[in-house]
Amino acid sequence: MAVYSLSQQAAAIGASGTALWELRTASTDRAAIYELGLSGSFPTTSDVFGIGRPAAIGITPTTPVTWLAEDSGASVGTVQGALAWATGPTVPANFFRRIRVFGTMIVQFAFPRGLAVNVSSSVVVWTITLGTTTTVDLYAAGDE
Amino acid sequence: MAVYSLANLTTGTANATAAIELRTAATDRVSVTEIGAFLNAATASLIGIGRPAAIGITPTTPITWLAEDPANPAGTAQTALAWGTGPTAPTNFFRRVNVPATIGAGFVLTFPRGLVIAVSSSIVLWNLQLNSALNCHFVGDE
Repeated sequence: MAVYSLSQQAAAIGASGTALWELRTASTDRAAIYELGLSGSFPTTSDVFGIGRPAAIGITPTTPVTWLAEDSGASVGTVQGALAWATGPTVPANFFRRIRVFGTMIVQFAFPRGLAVNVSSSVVVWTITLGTTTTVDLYAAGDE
Repeated sequence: MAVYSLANLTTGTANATAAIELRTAATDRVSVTEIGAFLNAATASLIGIGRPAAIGITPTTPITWLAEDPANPAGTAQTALAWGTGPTAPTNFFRRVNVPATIGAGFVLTFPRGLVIAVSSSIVLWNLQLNSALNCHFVGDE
């Protein structure tokens, strides 16, 4: 197991009931997420985000980015982050975490024993309710 | 032991009522390792964590918490936000937190050795005054 992480910027929050960010495993490797965070300046009171497993993984992600080995001696990772899709992930039935944000905020959730992701599956940061479209910076760290 | 968690948006905000209850089944004890809550409205809130004197009766559409590893079996503990008869007030609280009136303000409390709930029992987040609704989560083992 080696540690990987990745940050990406969502230029704009999508509509309510859509994925903001998806961490996707390959068919070869499970992953365990230890930390997931987001930050931004949220000018309204209505941006609500959740972390969950989508009912269905996104299809045809647009230019996904592979997470980065935190030890340059480790092998290249296989998990990828995606911000857009031909067909987006579908809504999680329930969420592991949720938060409503207002003002300039940094949110960090830790999963000390790992939020596991099966092969060919994903975890999403989900826009439960859109307030104002704004830029959001996201990151995650984990093992695979 | 496997890790489970679940997040909810609470609905009950009245003073001296439970905002949310984490309930164990008759088959499994639970060890809670983390509780987090963040305000959903700009209402100053005073929240206690405790064991209710009596568990809530007839919870309304309880939700089973989620395995953080999908290879583990489904959990048995459930959260409830409403009841036919709500949980009754804890005599004392493990934690009390006073949260300022800012949306998103809140806390994450950890119980490194586990806050244990016996079978057929519960832990509540208790409204110690008229509070905001809470985006909150429980993490634990069963």
